[in-house]
Amino acid sequence: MSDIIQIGKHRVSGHQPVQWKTLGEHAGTADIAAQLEAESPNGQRAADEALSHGVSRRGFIGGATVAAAASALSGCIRKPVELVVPSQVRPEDRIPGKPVWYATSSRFGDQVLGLLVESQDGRPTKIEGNPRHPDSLGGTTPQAQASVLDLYDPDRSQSPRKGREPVTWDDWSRWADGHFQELHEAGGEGFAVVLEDTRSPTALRLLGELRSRYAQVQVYIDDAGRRSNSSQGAGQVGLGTVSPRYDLGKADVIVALDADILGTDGESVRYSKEFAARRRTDGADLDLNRLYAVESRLSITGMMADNRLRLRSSLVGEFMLALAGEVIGAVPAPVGAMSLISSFEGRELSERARTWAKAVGEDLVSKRGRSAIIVGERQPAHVHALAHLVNVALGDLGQTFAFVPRHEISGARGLSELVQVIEAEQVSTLLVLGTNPVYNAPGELDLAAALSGVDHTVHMGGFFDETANLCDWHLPESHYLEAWGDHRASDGSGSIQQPLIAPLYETRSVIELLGDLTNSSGSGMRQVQITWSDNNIDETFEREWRRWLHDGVVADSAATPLAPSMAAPAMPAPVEGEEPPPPPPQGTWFNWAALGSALSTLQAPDVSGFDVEIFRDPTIDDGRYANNAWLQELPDQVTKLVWDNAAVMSLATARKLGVAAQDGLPHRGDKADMVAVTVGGATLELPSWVSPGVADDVVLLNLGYGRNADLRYAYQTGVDVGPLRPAAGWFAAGQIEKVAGGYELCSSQGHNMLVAREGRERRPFVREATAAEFAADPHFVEKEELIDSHHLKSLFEQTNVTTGQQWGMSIDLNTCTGCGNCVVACQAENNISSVGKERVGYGREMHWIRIDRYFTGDPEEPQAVVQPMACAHCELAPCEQVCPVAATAHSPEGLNDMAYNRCVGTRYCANNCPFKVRRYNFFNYTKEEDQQNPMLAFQRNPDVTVRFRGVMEKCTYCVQRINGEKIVAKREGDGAVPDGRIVTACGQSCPTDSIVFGDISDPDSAVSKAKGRPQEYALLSELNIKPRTTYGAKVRNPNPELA
Amino acid sequence: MAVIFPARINRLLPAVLLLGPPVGAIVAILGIWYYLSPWYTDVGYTPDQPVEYSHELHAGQLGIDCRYCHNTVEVGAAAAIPPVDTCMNCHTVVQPESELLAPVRAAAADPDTSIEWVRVHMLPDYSFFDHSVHVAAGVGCVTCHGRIDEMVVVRQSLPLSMGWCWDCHTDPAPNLRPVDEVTNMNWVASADWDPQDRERFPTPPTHCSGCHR
Repeated sequence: MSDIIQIGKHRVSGHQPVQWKTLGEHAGTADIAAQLEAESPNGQRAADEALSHGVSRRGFIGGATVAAAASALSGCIRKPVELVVPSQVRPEDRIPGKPVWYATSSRFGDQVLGLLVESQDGRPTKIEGNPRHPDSLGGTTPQAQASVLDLYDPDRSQSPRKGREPVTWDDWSRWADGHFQELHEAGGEGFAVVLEDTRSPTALRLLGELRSRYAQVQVYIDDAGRRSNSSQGAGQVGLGTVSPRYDLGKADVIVALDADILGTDGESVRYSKEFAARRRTDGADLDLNRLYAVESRLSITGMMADNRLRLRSSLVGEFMLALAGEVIGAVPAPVGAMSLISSFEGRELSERARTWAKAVGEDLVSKRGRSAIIVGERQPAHVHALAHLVNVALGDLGQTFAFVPRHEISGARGLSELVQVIEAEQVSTLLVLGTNPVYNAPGELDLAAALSGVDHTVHMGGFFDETANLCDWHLPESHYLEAWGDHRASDGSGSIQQPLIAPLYETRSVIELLGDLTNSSGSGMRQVQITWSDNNIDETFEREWRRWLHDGVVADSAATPLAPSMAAPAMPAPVEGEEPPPPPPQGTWFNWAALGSALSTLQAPDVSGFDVEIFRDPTIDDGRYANNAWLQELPDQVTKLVWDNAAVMSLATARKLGVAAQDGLPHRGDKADMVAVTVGGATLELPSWVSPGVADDVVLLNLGYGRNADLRYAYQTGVDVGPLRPAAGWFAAGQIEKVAGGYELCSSQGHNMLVAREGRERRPFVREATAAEFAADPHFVEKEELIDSHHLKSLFEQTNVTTGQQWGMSIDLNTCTGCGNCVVACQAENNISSVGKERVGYGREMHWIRIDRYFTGDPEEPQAVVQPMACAHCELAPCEQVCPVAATAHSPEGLNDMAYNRCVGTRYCANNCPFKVRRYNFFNYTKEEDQQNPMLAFQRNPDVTVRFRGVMEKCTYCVQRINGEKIVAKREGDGAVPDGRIVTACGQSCPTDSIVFGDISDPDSAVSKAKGRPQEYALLSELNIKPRTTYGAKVRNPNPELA
Repeated sequence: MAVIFPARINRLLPAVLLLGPPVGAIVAILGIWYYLSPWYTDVGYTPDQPVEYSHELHAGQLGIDCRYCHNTVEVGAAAAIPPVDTCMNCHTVVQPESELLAPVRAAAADPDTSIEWVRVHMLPDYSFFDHSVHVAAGVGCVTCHGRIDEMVVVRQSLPLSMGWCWDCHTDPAPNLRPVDEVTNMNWVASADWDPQDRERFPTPPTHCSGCHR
């Protein structure tokens, strides 16, 4: 666009595409101005809501009268008596009220993360990343942040059950001792174990012992698609059980094929850290990497990509073949590689995709040895194998990627084999460990029906879930913060899972149960120690062990990557009459034969109709976090849907089906059109959601919703799309049609809109340039200013005294992926309530930091950018000017303080806030939460006020952390807090280190340096509010050939 | 339905109308005045404690330093009530049979119990006070807690209201003493004592988030 607009004497040219949050906003149909004009956008319908909860007007007034009288009376009554109950013997070094941090680790999705967990007087309250851990590097995921809430989940299973009846562990032992002794004597005949693909060396060791005690035991993996395809892919190139491990820090060109490497796939935290390190720039060294994304869903990887190709998942394999053709022809490829792929060139691919393959191929060849092709777990094994072939041909092996030996359960099979053997009546005792296969199993396998054919079924899990419902015995599993364990990271290094609290209920861990079943004595800790000491626990080991617990990582335990040779080693000629020599061992050389045979049977995908594609949900994963209110209320990274899943489709698909798009403005009450989705014999009806950026002719469904277990937040929330999932793979051809009916979905994409006043030009809130534009004009952001800074005038004198250190923040939009980790981290740190779908629908979410997602460009082929938004602590804060009781006032250090105890709830401040970051407690959310879940009080941060009904709240820059460090500095130092000591909750665990906080009056502080970058800008600077939070503009590095 | 008030009440009506508003106004004003005054702040609050522990004996007569029991005062926000163990450090030897110490011995004998002390100095939950930084600045125990060494049963002797905090936060000098005299209840400023004579004069916060967060 090249419109020139005139403001006063200054000509401002807008060269950037307009950004928009909702389709209605793009089309100009959404009534956003009306939303802004309303006195307080989130203030309406308060009384309606009270009435809708079954309170009559008369009852409401009656209740209000009693409450008023009671509050008047309470003035005459003394404060309640408070008791102080000291410990009998205070543990050494324990200072009451002072948190202690412990290192532990756990597995989240595909990755193992090292964690530092805050313990407040013995209660785990907050999770942070462990900088020493190779896959965490200090970052976490939203799931890791929210996992502390799972510990206090009121629906956790609290005792063993037989059938549905609660029993004791003694009851279980009485049965199990006899039964498993019989099984042992019968050689384990008919004994089957189902568990998750585990990364725990101790669990693997105990499974080995299980095998030796019950010789015929069969192990099945309920993997929900984890790692099986990529490891099979490595198997197809002759390397056996290995995992590819990428080092994105060394890659100049990254191609993500259906791989959400920054979100849900693989070691997303480490990938994000490495990726972001190559995107950070101050303009001087513009050595940006380039990310290509080829995907059907718009993922956060796709949003970050410099070039993105919308392609349905079934065609990604075809694209990989075309890309292989481009690369293999241009580099010295392994012998025979060309003949493997030559017959596939460009089947079914569009002209655009072919152009893409050519351009990407050329880019890869020009960056040989500094490139990486990463294939997502949803793609079949041969696509992974092809990517390995091309990566190897490009000389990336040993540079950007390596094959790391993988420890896994040998001889394990999948759930479909389990159903087969159950149907063949070969299973008499089934033990399900820490997983929920009845819910997870693809619909085609009727595991629920199969389970009824097993004589004895035992389930161990954290919840009494769908599988527990169908099993004879249920054993409650400990949370990871309650039990000992261990994990291996992607490079093979170990970390100990150290418990922070004794089990809250009568629970045990899988390791403890396996110890019992294998008659190996010892607690969970002992079992882990036996693994890591080779059963030789001496004094030296104890010393090392304490060091590992302190550091959170087992020292020097990383595995050596494989160094396979390109061709088969020369074999001696066979000698007549002698045994032929054994082939060289697996893993020492690439053997392309298996890939060749996989490719030889490859069918061209049918792309004539619709495809139905299944994904793990970016918030609640495969449903394991479905009862976590924080994650349910964390908006989806792209659609911003909360508390629901939907059939997500592109505009073109919606037009074909006659489905209307939704805007997601607050309090609209619009209903989304329903669609019926059919795959094979199964049909489901679910609401539709039109999202720009999705590939055409596909419908995307997220797993994890519609749980059918006794879980208060998860039960029947959304739709379980498991029945549509094919037994093999994640996508299949299907039918979609619009059906009658509607459903009110709740998306926060239209909430808290930043809107320019009538008659004003609306500028892009996320300023963006290409690398070339940035190089030509490092100060490009200044062109976007509506008014030159020296023309800005203040209507009032700035009376704020500034003394001491001056706090400020910089958020780098060039590295922020919009993953949502900061939203949950803030919620955990600051005692922020979840309010539920209905109230989010009114626009009353309480998150102090939100992530605004804007689309740019053509809605059919958009790009997307994200912008974390929290209180910007304006120096001339509009909110402060309108508060009638001075409840929000400025601190001399530049904080926009919020004194809850002064606030009377006029909400003028929220109305006057240009960033729409203030949140109002319409109801006593904390009390409601406590009534639903008394355990939640244990999670609360004692350093932060718990807010009451009727007060406004917002981001404080984590003032409790600032004050904590200031107190230390005043007590022990010169009163000034050294740079880097104060880390806000959002910034600490950010997987891309995008949020920098510190003293802006110190020119050497990290935040001052960030603010000194040429691309740094203040949002809405034309209002002259001088926000302390500023943003680093986004710089993309697109391939000019694909412009 | 019978009338509630007899007819003779009618004669009182003019008096009620005449006197009611001014009396009501006076009651309201006095009520609010009281509510906003330091008298409302519980000075003198002396709750019964589960153990007849005398600070007058231990801190006063015996001269045990405050920090022997409240040992976290220099490093933590709270000057923690000592664990039962601390009492038994001495009382396994000193007065081991005393009747007054029965609840302490009972608490020490049963690992699942402790002593439920009643909190005397209470701040509202929305104010965050940190002992360590006040002690490091040289604010004496006696400044906020009064002559604990003369109290048999501890009572609140100062208002602990926001206005009272504020007075010192805006002008800390009169309440400062040498840091090594913090626990000395009898300290008086000598003629040559200058609170300004130190490396870094305290800079107490006077903005909302200094205490409310």
